[in-house]
Amino acid sequence: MFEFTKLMKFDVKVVVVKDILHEGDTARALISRELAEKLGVKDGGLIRLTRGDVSVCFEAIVSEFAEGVDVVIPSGYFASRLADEENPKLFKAEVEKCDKADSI
Amino acid sequence: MRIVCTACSCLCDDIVIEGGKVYHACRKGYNLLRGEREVNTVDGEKCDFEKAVKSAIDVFGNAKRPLIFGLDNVNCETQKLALKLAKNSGAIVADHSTLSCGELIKLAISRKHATLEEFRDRGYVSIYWGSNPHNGIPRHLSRFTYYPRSGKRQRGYEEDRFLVVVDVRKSETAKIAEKSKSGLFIRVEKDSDLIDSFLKALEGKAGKYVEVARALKEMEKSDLNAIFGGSGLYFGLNGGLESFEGMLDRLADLNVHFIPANTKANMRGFVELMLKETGSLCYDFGEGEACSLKEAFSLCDVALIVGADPFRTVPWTISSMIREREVILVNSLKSVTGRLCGSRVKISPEISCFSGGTMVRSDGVEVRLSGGGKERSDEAVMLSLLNQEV
Amino acid sequence: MPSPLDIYKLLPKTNCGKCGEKTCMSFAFKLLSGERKLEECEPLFSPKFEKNRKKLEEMLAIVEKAKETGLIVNEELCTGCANCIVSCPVHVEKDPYNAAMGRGIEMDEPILRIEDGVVRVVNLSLCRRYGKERTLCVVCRENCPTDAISFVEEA
Repeated sequence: MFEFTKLMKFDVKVVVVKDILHEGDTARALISRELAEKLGVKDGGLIRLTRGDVSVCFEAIVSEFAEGVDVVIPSGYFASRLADEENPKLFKAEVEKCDKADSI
Repeated sequence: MRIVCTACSCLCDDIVIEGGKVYHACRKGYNLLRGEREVNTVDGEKCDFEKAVKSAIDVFGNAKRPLIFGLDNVNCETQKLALKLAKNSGAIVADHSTLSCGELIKLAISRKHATLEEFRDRGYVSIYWGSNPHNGIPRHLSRFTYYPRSGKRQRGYEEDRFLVVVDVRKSETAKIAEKSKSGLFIRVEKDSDLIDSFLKALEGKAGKYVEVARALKEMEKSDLNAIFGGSGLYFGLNGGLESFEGMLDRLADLNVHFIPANTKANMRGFVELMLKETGSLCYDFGEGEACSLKEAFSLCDVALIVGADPFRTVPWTISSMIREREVILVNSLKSVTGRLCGSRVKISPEISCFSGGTMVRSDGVEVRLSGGGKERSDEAVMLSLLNQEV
Repeated sequence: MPSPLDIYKLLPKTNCGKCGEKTCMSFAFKLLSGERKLEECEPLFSPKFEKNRKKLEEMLAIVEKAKETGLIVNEELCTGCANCIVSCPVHVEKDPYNAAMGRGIEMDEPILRIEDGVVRVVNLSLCRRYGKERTLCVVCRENCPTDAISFVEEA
């Protein structure tokens, strides 16, 4: 069956935080329950964030700790790829579903 | 063996290593002590420490416009030597402070504030603003602010402490505050609105965030309260540091101190030194003027990275510039920069926990580190670069 | 920790009664409390249920671990913040100048201790939830924001 959610793309609020439990070689991001429902992504599903001409694919973890924003990325290599020089903590990015999480 | 942990700015002095196990250190501390060690290399070939240092002297000596970056995780003695080296070679010097808590540390230096031990013994209201200590400085709540039963605060978090968390999202620390009867979580969109709410509440008026009235009421009960500001506060203020400072002035009557909640172990030491020596946080000794981090990375031809992993911590648009430069990496542990950047030289010194010397904790207290053998330490590497001999 | 429903879902759900229980749900509850063993469910050992049996064996291994200690620490969720150690009323009473003040715990045989970056159960017999005069203390769990601590009774 054709999945319409695969075509969905929209802007989300991204926060970069220290996160000892989720930082590492595989790109992982916490997402709010609202965003998960909107995108049709389950826990462990995959999302792509795009800012300008940079995209990173993350394994999504549906988490209470993303409540209040849409996406929370652990600081590290993947966050630095997307980060805004002016405000590396908080920025907007475009989100969509994808097929494979990035790793270093 | 008892050591001081240098994984974050808490500089915990109660860590015990015994029978191969590490006791009392948080996950961050354990990762530092037991993380995979970097290997000394020159042009990708493994070598001994001395050869790597010798090559570093050659590469650095040929630099026309060197950059010395990092330094906020190494001891004060290494920082001082790095600044001396920068003066001699006309290098640019920078750490992460312009990307996180540098301005907040400057603010704290300019004001009188309590030490963390004083707060542990007397403090009542802790406001974590734009900071999630649970991940950045994991033992901050249990050692210094919300949980300890100490001095005048023997009833601990149950009755003798009040926790306020200001954040854009529900962090782990916010969850603790939200669950507690002696806590408050204020979810903000614009930090300036919260400052405005504090100022209005002081005049008995209601602002956007009505919860601040309760925080102020709690503050009245104590002779010591504190705002612990993290990088989220700095970026949330969006240049409005003056209005925050104005609010602190008004809150002084309620015994509210400002203490930075920076995470890097010795960022405060670096900021104190840079302010004393240069008056700025990122300085170009070649031109004799302050510069931005972007300028620092773009202007250099050789980058000496000390105790840092810029590919993890600096926006890629800036850090990736060093891929085109000659890089000398001085880092005890394996790093992303070490893996992805074609470094000319990699030097793996002793972990800073065992290097001796001093670091400055986030509250300005100097902490003496364990060990002291200068051989193969960050300090030894810097001294070799300065004296141009191994 | 698995719930009785998690276990029930993997059982044959035929209510055959061969195990001595009237329903598979009741068997699930007793498996969890340790009153029944997996081997007592005869149909589960037929090839048809082999996959489910293996999953159940994995689940019950976690339960076994819980019984040995009474509480479970999910180390993957623990940051070693020590909130649980400093807030524990027994630690406060017995180690007032270290654990209670936020320093590394120094009492002999503490209930919990941070080892290798995560909290580990050292001696549960001192915990107020166990022993003769048990109380329903949940302090360590309540002060863990990542839910790394759970009790066996909550299964």
